[in-house]
Amino acid sequence: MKIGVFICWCGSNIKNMVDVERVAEATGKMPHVVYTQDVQYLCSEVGQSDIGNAIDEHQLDRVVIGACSPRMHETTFQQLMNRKGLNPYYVEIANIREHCSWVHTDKAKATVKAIDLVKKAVAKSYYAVPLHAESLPVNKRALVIGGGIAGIQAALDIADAGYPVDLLEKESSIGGKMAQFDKTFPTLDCSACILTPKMVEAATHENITLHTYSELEDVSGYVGNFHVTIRKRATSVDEERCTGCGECVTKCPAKVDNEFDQGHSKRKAIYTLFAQAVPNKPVLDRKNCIYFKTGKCGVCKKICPTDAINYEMEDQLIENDYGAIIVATGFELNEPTHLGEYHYGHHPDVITSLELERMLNASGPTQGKMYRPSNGKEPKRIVFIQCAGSRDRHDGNSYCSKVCCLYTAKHTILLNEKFPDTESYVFYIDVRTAGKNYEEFYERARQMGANYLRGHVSKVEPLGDSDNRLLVRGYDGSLGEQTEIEADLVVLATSIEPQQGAKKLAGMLGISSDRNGFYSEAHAKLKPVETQTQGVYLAGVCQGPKDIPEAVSQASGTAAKAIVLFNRGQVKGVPTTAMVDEELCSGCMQCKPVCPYEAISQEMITERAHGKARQRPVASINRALCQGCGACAGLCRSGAMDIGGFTGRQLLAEVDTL
Amino acid sequence: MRIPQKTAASHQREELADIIRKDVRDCYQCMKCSSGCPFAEEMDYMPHQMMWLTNLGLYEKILNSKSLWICASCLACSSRCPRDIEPAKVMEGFRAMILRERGRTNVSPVIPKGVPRQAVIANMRKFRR
Amino acid sequence: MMQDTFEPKIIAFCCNWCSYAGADLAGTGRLKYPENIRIIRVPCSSRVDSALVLRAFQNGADGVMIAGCHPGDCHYDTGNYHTRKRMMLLKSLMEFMGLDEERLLVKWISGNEADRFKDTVESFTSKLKKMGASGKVRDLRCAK
Repeated sequence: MKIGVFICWCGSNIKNMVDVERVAEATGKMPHVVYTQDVQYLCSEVGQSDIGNAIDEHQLDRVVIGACSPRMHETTFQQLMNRKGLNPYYVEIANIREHCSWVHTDKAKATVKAIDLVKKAVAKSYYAVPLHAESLPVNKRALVIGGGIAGIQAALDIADAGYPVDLLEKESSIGGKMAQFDKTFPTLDCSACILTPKMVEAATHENITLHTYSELEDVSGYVGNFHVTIRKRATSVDEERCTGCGECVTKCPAKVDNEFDQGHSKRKAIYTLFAQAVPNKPVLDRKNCIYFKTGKCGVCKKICPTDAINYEMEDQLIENDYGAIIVATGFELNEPTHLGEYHYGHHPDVITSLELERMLNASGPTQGKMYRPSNGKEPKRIVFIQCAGSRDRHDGNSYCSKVCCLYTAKHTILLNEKFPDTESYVFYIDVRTAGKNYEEFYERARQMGANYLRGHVSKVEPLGDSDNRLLVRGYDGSLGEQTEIEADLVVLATSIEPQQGAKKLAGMLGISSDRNGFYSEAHAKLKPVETQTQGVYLAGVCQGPKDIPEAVSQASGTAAKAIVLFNRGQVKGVPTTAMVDEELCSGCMQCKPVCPYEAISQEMITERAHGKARQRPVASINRALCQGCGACAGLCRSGAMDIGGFTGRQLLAEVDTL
Repeated sequence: MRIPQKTAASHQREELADIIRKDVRDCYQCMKCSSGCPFAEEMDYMPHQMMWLTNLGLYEKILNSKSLWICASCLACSSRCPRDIEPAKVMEGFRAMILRERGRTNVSPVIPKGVPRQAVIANMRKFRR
Repeated sequence: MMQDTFEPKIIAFCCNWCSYAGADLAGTGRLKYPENIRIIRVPCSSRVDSALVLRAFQNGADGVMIAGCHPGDCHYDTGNYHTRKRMMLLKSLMEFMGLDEERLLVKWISGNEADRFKDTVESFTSKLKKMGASGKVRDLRCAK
């Protein structure tokens, strides 16, 4: 064993507080250390070649670095080892910058500590074992969960690269929330006009299989080899036979509130989600169907020219294997009923922005006409209340929903364009227009007549006049006085929230959520589409509030990640996984329940004892699943379990030097 | 204050726009005008509030305010306005509207000789180059 | 006695994903804390086996700190729950051995809580200074 110790000055960062020469000298006396050197910048090219030369010259087989945090440059040095033909796990780093020179003020004491830390690293390296990552084959098929714009985009990108994709959607049509919108900011493009071509493309793409009206039932496996069960709910309509003529929808006698129009219109019990639905075939809502409630009716079955209605249809379970999973489950809007001061749910003229969006939509319940739900008249003065449930730690969500500022600006613009004599007032806390051309869009809204009042509304109450109007009590921050506005319609910019089932799905996929319930990305800055679980990627609002272009670009990002995975065709696991010493393992299997990845299973081995072959159970690690946390190693009674890079022997050696 | 209130008639809005040739709708209430105004403390409506009242169409409040006459037209606000609205010019516009309707001045002239301050400053501005 | 000059020896096991990063951040932010602490990097606080802690005491450590992610925040989902259970048990074992259980500190420090890391080290060091040297555990095999 030949160890080389290299101490970095890090310019003056380490050298000013630690006597690097003394550190090098002290560690040089340790057994097996054949070479020491202090270098100005180890991470620089010069420093790297110094190490490389020393390895060649002194036939070093292990390297100990005293420098900055291993979280900083561990890979730099591991790559150097690789280039030199040494195992990357033969390099050990002592953190003498973040943990020593930067946090201490007494040079003598800091030097003593630095010597201790480097000695500790040398002791650890005595017991270093070479580690290799395992390669596993990848199933080149992707699953996209959620058929909104993000899911559609991800599916299309992967499919265009030539890999098969399954697109899972819980509603009866893909399209998601974007299908409900009227126009998109800041270009005022018609939402449906830009979305429907993508929907059709996804439905007709040879590499994409749609699973609508379906939900995720179960997921097992790991990156490259996920095994997924999909529950396809019974639509009661035979897809093969149905031609989508819509006769059943016309004749169905059961009417219920249309969720797609936010309850501002009625739909039938057998229905298509919206006119341009893809696939454009109806589904039967059994909860509201007269046949399912009373056993009588059956009109749709009688009327169907192709005999496609099947009341006996059952949920189907579809099983499939995938290499990558893209989560694009989107969001829900908060029902602002808990904010009693806004009177939502008590006065019909207090509506949410999505309700307004549906009203403004030419294919919506009113064909684009504005009306007051209380009396059907056209509203003249509309008050918008921003952050209704967002940025509200007391009674809502503490985060910013991000898109409300812009869609409210859009609403005021659309209103001013279509109905020039309406007045719009916007009560806001801050207006956030970070995004290309967004500031200009907001400017346009103000110039077109929207009055922005800085201050939160404290109360909305019925005015008590014959017109049943509303009085909005707010504060005008500019004038510095309380302001009351007599309004015909009040629009609440409700908060974006994670889907109800988000937690359950996270549990199935083994990904984590933040405290607001949005899925957590692997790194806030540098891994925005990856999750902690390899092979599972995030696109769209399920990861956090964002607008359409952001969701689309994130979706393309996930697609790129999946394509990279498929192109490579194999995955490298974590090298620092658990290892079992079968000779020591007693097969007690105490390690199995503590493993968060279900990577440990029981295995029978045959060994010879007293001249006889006998079978004995031991723990066995699936190295593809193991992430190397070490919960098993920390618990193992017989000391049979170890973690590569952090073996019991290594940690003990570290403790022993101190 | 309760909205609706009596707001400026369209001919008044046109008159103002005609004088100032600026779009006060551009104002995003950053309040930089008020923060730099040397007389803001003395005013009943600070410059940014005047801009805001203009946008809301509440000319009556503006025309009756003391601020119009406290403004020294030092142009600090105009030179700093990030939207290039020139609040001093807007104020000047309102003063001009009042002066056009003689006798409505609610502040007695400071210079006893009968020369309105505005006239002096207007002269300076005209001939400063 | 020699409370003023006594410098306790502290060994800390820090989770790579949170408290080790928190300690790094304390360094990046140039926060200052006593030199008594020596940090050992572990992948997760649950990697720390009780024997390691006892070995540290045996080697003359006056205090041992185990720092992991906040409950519910574990990089590996559940590791810190195992740590919590295991260290509770170890603490009662320490009491049984006649070793003051306060010499073992289990703390949750996240990757961005540099201040918390600094405060923890400071208060633990000053507490150990008051408690004095831990002379209880000796490795009899090595006794001369």
